[in-house]
Amino acid sequence: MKLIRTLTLGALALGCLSVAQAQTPIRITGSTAFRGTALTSILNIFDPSPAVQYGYTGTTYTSSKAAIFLGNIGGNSVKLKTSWSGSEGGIQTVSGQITVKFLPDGVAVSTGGTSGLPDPTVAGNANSPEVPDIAFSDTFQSSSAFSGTFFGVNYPALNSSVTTTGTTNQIIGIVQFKWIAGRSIPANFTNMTSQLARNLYSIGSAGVALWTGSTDHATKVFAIGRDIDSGTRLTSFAETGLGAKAVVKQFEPKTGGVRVTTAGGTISTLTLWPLEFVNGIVEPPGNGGYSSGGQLAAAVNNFPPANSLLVGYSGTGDADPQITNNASTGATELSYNGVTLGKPENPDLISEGAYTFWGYEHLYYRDSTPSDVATVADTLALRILNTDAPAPKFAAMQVSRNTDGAVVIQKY
Amino acid sequence: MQKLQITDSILIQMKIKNFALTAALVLAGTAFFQQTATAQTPVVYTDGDLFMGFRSSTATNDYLWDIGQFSQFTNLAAGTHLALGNISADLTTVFGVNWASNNNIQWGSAGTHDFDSSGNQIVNLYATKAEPTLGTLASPWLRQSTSNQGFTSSRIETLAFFGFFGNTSTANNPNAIIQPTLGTSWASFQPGGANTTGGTSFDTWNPTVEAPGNVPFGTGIPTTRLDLFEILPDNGGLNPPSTYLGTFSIDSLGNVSFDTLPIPEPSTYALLIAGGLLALFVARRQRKSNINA
Repeated sequence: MKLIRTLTLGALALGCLSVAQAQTPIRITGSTAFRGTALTSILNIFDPSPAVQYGYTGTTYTSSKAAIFLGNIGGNSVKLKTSWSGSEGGIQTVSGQITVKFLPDGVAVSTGGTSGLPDPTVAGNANSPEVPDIAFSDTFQSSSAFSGTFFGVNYPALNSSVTTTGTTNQIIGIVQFKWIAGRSIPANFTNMTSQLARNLYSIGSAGVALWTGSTDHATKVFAIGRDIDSGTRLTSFAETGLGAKAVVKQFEPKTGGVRVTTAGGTISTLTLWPLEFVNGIVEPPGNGGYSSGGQLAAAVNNFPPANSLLVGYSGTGDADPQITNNASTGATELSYNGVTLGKPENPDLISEGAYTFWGYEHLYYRDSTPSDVATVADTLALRILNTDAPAPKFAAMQVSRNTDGAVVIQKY
Repeated sequence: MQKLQITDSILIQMKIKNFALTAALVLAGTAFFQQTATAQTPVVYTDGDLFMGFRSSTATNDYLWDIGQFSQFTNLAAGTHLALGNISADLTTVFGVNWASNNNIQWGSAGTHDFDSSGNQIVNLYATKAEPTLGTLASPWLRQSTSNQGFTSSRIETLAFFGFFGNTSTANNPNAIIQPTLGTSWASFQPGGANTTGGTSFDTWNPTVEAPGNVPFGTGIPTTRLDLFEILPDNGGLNPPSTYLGTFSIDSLGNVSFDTLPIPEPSTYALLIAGGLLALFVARRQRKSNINA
């Protein structure tokens, strides 16, 4: 009898251990432009009890570069990690099963969220290289370079046979973008057109007269942009007709020889972005750019060198904190083809088709993703689609487009 | 942002390619190769390389060949002949055994030298133009501003890095690929392609860098020739003509070659005119003396 009790207790103990060990790991990467909404929604899908414990990099949760969550989703124990690499990087790493640097296990977490964790993507900081399961993407995979074979690596179609019931092409919302200009711009520098964007980003700089109609041929506007991991970049170039995969010329702002990543200072030099490699893909001089929309928007919000002005593209979440519409105190939102989205954004301009600088946000995962991970992915996708996505929601759109940068057409 | 191990490997490949190219130029004056089956490897691109593209209005693939650095085609003495290679096997794979007489095939060449050795942006362009009739030099493309040529350079680099770089070479040519005509292919940057507007090559050359200019036309590309021009930027606003470098031709066996045909120098023109005037003067004198007699 004693033996039976001992064996029973032992079995129970083993059972508890196995439950503790059955914590499902889920790693999420992709769009930096949509990370604010994604992070908000992630907290919303955790069960209220026991309370989710989490920690994140930086000081503001919704703009954190990486985070870790421990809690239950649908009654199942989950260890969820985020590390935002950009939409194209997300498609590349999820489809190609390439590791991304996440926060390591064991970092500080709390029910209210522990801030200030070291960014795992910064050289020298502790990190855990893991293959991501889920990618948020501002673009269709078919528009991406990471569709089929690229640079000798095969990137299978995501969600080709397993899809989220209730979504269309894995679309979960509308991601919105803006053109912004840096400090010191003249008062009549107010608009960006598709033509100007094609000119500026093909060459890297162009005379301010093209924007203002003045006879000032000495002052030049310099192009600031993202690297090829960015869906914001792909959308910007597709939208303006430059081409989703265009090789462009973008400049690197520096102060004291160091790349500018914060706002409010003075840039001392602007040089073509140096040659670099991103996830094994070569970016020739000028074609590289910021890996983060937040850093790009902050960099634009600086005083440029003499006879120079700065223009960049960014998701609204990264752009808005930098916009004051006062050239002495912050960045200025440019209208696009004559239409100003506004701050706060006017969702009707997008849903009715007047403002076209937007894309569909997707949530992608591999067909081979384990069912427990896919279930969480589907839960997150539907939560965003139906509740957390910013206005206009996908269901409210009165216009549609067939792919990134395609013509916006009314649905009625 | 992650940097993968492939970085070093690609850099090494680029260096190897540069070294190999330099060696080839030193030894043979050109990068000739024989079409024999070799290991298929990822192709690489170096700033200043020229592309030669072949497409057909009836094929779903095109053929894109990195023919090497522009410098092998510049400053050559008149009468120089460069054998670039034999691509018959690859053209047969893409367009069929009757490629040489297929009047739907077009070919052309273009490239950009974006940066000098110090890293300064120079945007020198290279582009072909079909000879209107064999032996008649095509009118040169006009030189444009640095900004204007930078726009074209961006298009060519998009082909280089998203349409070419990193793809697997054919079994017959280590510097060429066979690619679908969609996406960022050679064909997509030619008139009618998705990445160009207004019926131009690379959004620039009107109508095209290709020969023949329209298809179906003629009796196949061996009956056409392409004149290559070096298009240096000109910011004077006068758009002077570019410089003729030489002429590409392909025979029906698939041998591609480049020849610098003798173009009369100004001094030659002056001598010819002087000679003509002298002949006229002599003839007139003779006629006068005959009349007087």
